[in-house]
Amino acid sequence: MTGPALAVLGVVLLLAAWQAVAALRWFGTTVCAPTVVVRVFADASSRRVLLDGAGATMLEAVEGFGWALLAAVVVGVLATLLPFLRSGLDQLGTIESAIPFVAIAPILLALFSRDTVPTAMAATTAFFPLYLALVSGLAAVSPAVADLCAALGAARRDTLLRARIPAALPVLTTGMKTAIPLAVLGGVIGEWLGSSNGIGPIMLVAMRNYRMPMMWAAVVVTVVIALLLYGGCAALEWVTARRFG
Amino acid sequence: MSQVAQVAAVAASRGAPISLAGVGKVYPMRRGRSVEAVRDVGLDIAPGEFLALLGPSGCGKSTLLRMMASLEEPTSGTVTVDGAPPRELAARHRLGVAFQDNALLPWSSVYHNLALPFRVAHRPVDRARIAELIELVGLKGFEDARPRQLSGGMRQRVSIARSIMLEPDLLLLDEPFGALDAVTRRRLNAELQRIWMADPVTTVLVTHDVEEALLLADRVVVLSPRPGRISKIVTVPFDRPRALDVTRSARFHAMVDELTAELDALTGGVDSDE
Repeated sequence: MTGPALAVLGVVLLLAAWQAVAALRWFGTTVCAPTVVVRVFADASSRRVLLDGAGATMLEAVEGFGWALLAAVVVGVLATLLPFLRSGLDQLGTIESAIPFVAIAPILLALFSRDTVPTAMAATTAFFPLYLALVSGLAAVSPAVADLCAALGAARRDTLLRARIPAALPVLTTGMKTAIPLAVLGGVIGEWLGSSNGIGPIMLVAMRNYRMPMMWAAVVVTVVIALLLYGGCAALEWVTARRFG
Repeated sequence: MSQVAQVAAVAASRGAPISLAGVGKVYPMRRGRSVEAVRDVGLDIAPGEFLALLGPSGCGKSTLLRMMASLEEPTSGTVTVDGAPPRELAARHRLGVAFQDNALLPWSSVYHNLALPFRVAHRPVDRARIAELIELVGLKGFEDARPRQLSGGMRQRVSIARSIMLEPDLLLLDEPFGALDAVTRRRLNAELQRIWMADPVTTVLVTHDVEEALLLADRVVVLSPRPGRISKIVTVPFDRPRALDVTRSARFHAMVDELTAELDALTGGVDSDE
């Protein structure tokens, strides 16, 4: 069987298992069957609420991701141009990534307005994988090309521009693929901290009012957002791998 | 300037002289151990001379070349190019190099790979010069091809063309045809000879191929295995161009035999490690 056929089979099996778990009531009424969730999307007003929330969350995730990418590029290029900064910056990045969400949340709440926290949280979670991908990408240039640049008398910034950055792009886009679902995750968690927009608050309200079909619909929407953005990054990765690989 | 007079005196040949004095290279290894790659090498290379460094694998010949290219520093002794540390020649963009790994930028076309020396030297890209060298190495029509679309031999032609793009004062070639099949290699050797004769600049070629060394070089320096030391220097007597009549002559064969015997004696008949 081909790859796509197997993928479809996997999704069908997953949906069937989900339907079975819901029908057998293994978890009482907390697990709603896919057929019930579909009915939520069929309802115009619920659909409107979910789509608005999805739009807001997607925007936060992408915006946060953009800031994280910008920060990773600035810090990564700095670490490459000034090698003595490299190990220190790596340590700092590792520490940043090791801080749990719960610990970083109060800091972000103190720094930003409640509606900006999701974007900040998305940026915080996406930063480290992007930084790692960028610095390892910038170091990925072949030793022979690095030697060539040195022998041609290329200045450090010329080597960066002509050899290191093009060589880094495929590695960076692979890192983007890893980082974008984290940005969605960070965004949703950021929304739980009191934001008024996005899919996060919808989830919380549905949970508190025990509107399980709505909650499950919100979960599905979150997954779809993550998959859409992931697909975008995967496409970008494919293009850069062909152009710069 | 006296250099100008000198260049005029020896007709077309030009380039930077190289001087190696007591050059040694020791690589530190783990647990305080070290490997001595090169020991006490002294050698003077004249402007416009084509010198081959011949030796078995792991004899430090590439290390010597890398020191001339400013890619490595000697641990003892001095290397000077044009009377100064090699770094200065590289910084002035007067050095041309080609390695066994063609070091082409995989994302750039042949044209843009050949434009690289101009770009890193911050000089306007000379389209006519690029076209001339593409023609010289027989790659007309492949200007827009990416390296992966080319054969191994074609990639090395690009690499050679790039190395002489800025008419360097010193050309350093580290087994540029080492990974090619015998037929392609012989053809490219003949082409390299032709290219070099058009502008005979100081050239150092690292090779483990005796015939290649004798075909191309004015002098062949034979190095012993680790630590690399000069074991023999042979002056090649043949006039250029060295075509089939030379390579099939008894004298050429005698020299091939002599150098091959020297290499065999140096490795003690044991396969040298790669």
